[in-house]
Amino acid sequence: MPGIQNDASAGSEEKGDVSVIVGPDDDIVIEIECAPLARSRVEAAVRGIIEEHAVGSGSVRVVDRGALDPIIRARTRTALRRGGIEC
Amino acid sequence: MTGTTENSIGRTVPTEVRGRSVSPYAGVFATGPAGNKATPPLGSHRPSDDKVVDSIAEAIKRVDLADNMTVSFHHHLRNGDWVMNMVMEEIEKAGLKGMRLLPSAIFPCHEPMIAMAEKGVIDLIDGSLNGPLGRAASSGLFPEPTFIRSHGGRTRAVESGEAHIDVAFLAASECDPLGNANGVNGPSAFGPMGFAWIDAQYADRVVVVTDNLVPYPVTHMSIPSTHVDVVAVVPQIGDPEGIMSGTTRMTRSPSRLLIARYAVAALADSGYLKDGFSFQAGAGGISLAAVGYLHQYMKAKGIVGSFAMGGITGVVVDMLREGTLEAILDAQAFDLAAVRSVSEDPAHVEVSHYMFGNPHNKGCVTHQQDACFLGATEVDLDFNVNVNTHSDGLLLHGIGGHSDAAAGSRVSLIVIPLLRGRIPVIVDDVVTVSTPGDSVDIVATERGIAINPVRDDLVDALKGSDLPILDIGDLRKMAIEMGGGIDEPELTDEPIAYVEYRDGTMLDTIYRVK
Repeated sequence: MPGIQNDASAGSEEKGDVSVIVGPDDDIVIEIECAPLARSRVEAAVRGIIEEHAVGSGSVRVVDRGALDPIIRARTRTALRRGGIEC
Repeated sequence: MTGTTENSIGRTVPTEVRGRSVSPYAGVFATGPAGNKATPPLGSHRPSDDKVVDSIAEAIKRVDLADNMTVSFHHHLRNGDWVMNMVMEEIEKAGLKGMRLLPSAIFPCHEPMIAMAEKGVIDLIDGSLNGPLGRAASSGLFPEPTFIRSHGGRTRAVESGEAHIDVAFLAASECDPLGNANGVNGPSAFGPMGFAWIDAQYADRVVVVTDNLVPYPVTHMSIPSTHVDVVAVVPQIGDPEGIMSGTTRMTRSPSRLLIARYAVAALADSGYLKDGFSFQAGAGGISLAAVGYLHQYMKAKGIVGSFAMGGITGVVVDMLREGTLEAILDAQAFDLAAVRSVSEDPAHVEVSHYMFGNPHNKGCVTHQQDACFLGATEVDLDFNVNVNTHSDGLLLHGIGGHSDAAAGSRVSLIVIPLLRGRIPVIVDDVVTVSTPGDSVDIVATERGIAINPVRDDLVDALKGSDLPILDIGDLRKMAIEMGGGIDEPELTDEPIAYVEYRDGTMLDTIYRVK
């Protein structure tokens, strides 16, 4: 399974957007900062993209400022691609 | 809670608070007044008496302030108020404990009250708790639940004696040595003193705190000397720039401007927007934008309105000056243009919040309004509105005049986005009912407008409208489809506040957040 090769990011911390920062790691490490009531759904959107691209290792830090699911998925996919994952 | 019951909108509320029996909410005008007005003590003043002191510390001594007393403040300087912090610092220095506060509202600038509550200087704060104080209250800062009241409801509670004030500390930007005071003149001018009027009438003792002592007589007497015990002179009462807090700026968001446009169009199609029209707008960005569109529409159609009730902004002042309004009735200024207008425009008249929205006096302004534009943190399928708590249950805002305006206006319009970020604003059940759905008529969003089905006259009037009129359930579905929904808030069963309706009945209970 492919691992994240280098540090990369996508998105922003503007209202309505999400910042996704990725980097190499030994395992899959996901860290999420968001409104508590939205945590389960933000995590599901991020994990969905990681699983879709069969990412085996790397860190993913997510700072959500109220982004909708399609935006979270797009930002995560872009960050992974910039981090060396084929998307 | 010693005992609970369910009110007419299905909310669990107490039957007794602080040893006093309370009634459940039963409907917008279902509960009338009972008993007599509160009676403050008689006062006297001899020609040789001098009311002026040069510090708040001296004023505290003059009024014999003691442990466990209730002190009140107004919030006309909003986030620029310095008076509450100055007074409470002196109370702490004097070694007093267990004080109860009855401010008209608390702002982020009053965050030092949290430490004073933790130290026991403050026992309880009954009042609109905005920002950090509300967040701290949600975590159990106070030993018992506080009361959350509307502006009109607060004046009712004071006049009925349910909320007793021992000493009122009233900031004034101009005051003479006998205590005639106002907020419209002087370097710290903040506008009308609508909140302070009831405190001056019914507090046992009244201290005017001013940074602008002028010779007798001050001619603009918002607070007359007949009610004032002490005049305390301080270097500065606050920063008037702080009046423009976050809720008083017009939105620039295209989707939110669309909501404002829809609201005004719905009002026009309803037939209420004609000569003699009267309205009130809240301090939210969309409400303010709605006023801008209202002005444009009335100007284009040659409509001349009767009055606007404030919270007043420069946009409403423009309506008066450009002839789309005949008068402004103003209890508080939301920006400095409104502050200046009070003294410059004869038809811009200062009124109290007692006159604004107390349902238990003999004629309040809100009951004469055709329409009001109001915001919300949540609206539910029964049209109940939450303005106090967020979806996570945190108490972060006061009611303001929301429920007073909604109850009195012929058409109450709630102007809200369908989503805030990913969080739906239209929900199955609001976390907190601040304004009951039986006083809410139209909900306007950027995706469509919902009319409360109990208003069949409005449903009929808007039948031929080009506006996207939908069932509120359809708006809810749309919000879920777009945002995906959120988890339920985690609340305890421990009450931290009671929402008291404007007539004194219990509307809802706010619980501590886990």
